[in-house]
Amino acid sequence: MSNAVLSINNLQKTYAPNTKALKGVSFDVNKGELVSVIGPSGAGKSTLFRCINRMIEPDQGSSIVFNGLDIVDLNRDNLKNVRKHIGMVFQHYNLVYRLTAIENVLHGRLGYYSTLKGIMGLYSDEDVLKAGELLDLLGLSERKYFKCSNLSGGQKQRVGIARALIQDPTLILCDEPIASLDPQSSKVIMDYLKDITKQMGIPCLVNLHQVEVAINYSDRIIGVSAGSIVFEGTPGEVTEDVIKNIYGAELNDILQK
Amino acid sequence: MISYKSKSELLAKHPFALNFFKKRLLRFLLITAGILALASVGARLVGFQILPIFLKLPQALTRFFKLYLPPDFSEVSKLFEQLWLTVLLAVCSATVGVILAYFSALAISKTTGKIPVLRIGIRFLATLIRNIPSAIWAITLLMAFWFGEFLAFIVMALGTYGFMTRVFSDMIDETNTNSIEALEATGASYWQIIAQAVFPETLPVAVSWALYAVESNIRSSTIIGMLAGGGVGYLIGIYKHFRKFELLFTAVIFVVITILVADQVSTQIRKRIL
Repeated sequence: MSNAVLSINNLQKTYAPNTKALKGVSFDVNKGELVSVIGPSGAGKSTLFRCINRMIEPDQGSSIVFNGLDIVDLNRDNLKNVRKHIGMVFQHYNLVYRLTAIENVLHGRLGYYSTLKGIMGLYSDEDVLKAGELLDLLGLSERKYFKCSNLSGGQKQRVGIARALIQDPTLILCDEPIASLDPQSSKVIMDYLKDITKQMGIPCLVNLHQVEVAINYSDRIIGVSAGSIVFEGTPGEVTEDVIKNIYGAELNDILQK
Repeated sequence: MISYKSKSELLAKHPFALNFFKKRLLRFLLITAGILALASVGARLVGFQILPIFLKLPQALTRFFKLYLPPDFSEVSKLFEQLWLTVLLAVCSATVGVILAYFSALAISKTTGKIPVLRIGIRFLATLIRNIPSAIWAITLLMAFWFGEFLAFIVMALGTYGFMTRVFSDMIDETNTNSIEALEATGASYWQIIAQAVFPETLPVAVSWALYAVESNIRSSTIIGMLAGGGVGYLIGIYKHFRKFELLFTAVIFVVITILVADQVSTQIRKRIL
């Protein structure tokens, strides 16, 4: 499949001798696709996401091919180079709250600067203007120079998305992007992610807790349970039985947000 | 209304409930008795008696008034010169101590310390420096640097460094580390992350502590100056040595005023930045 941006093969992660968080996970993410990963807490979803950009080191023998490079074998410098091209959006936004929205967005460019320029925050005029444009695009034109501590949850998450977008990413990883948001803000964020995949053509791998949201927004859904993939298919293929298989419970027994 | 069972039935059902409160009371009484016993033994050992304090108070006060009053303002220009020097010494030593402490704290904090050897080494050094009182540093380093402002500067910078390294590393441990993870994920380097995430997030608290360091150094500069030979403390030492108590009292008045002013200034700055 030449279409694959990310190709994961036999990804394993062992924390302690007898606790395997991931037991040989394999799947692809293709261009222009929004792929959701669903599954109960502790199934290994967050570990899976953090292994992809090696925030957590996967086990030997795993293979994560991104842009034709196997991330697992890369040394420190090459890993930084790969990370520049993978945007990441977090449940808790992970912003520097004492800085303004636009400064937080520009953090997404740090990987492209020399250490000294990055330390001094000497961003190029081009990047500063791009950051402003991205904030406009995400409906934050009035909030550019607000301290992030003064923004609402949904606004913080949009700053987080802008920080990922300014990286010019080939792939965006969203680790439970709406888990801390109210339903309305959640919809706004999911709509933006959908636009990003469809209009900008940047594939998004989204880790979700809400099955309904996954069904409504995804091109493909991956169900993870106890460190293994137990389902992979289109939203249409998600039946009661599939849910039961992933969560070990009926859809009615799962509280939908 | 909740209807309860009879007391005997409840006692049988909750056998430990009453015991729990009795035990707690007993423990409290035992600890209090223990502390009082220790205090009285200590007082007997050093011959401390409460009554003479009150009996000799009038006598002590008369002596104080006779020796120290009225304050002598004749050497006020010399005093101001030394006081200014003291403030400068306090600011400079606090600045140097704080800057070194911030970098040391980065090295030993759980979230930012990446090199284990450095972490253990600096933690040990800072603990050692912190646990030796300034007066002991002044006496020990006297042989190496001799009397003077420079010795006072070194001693105060050491005090600031030892204390602030501990405070700053706790502060960095407590700041929200989520943003560090996010910047690592964008491919930013270690020092970029320190400068762009850790530094702005910790700056207001760090400045507040730096102001405290300046205040604290102005306060302690009187004693350290006496031992190390610099600033207003040195002057106070001389006055004491030559029994010029009226001059000494003037110096004390101005030191207190300086400390109060410094306290107010830093309170105002703190209000603006936090």
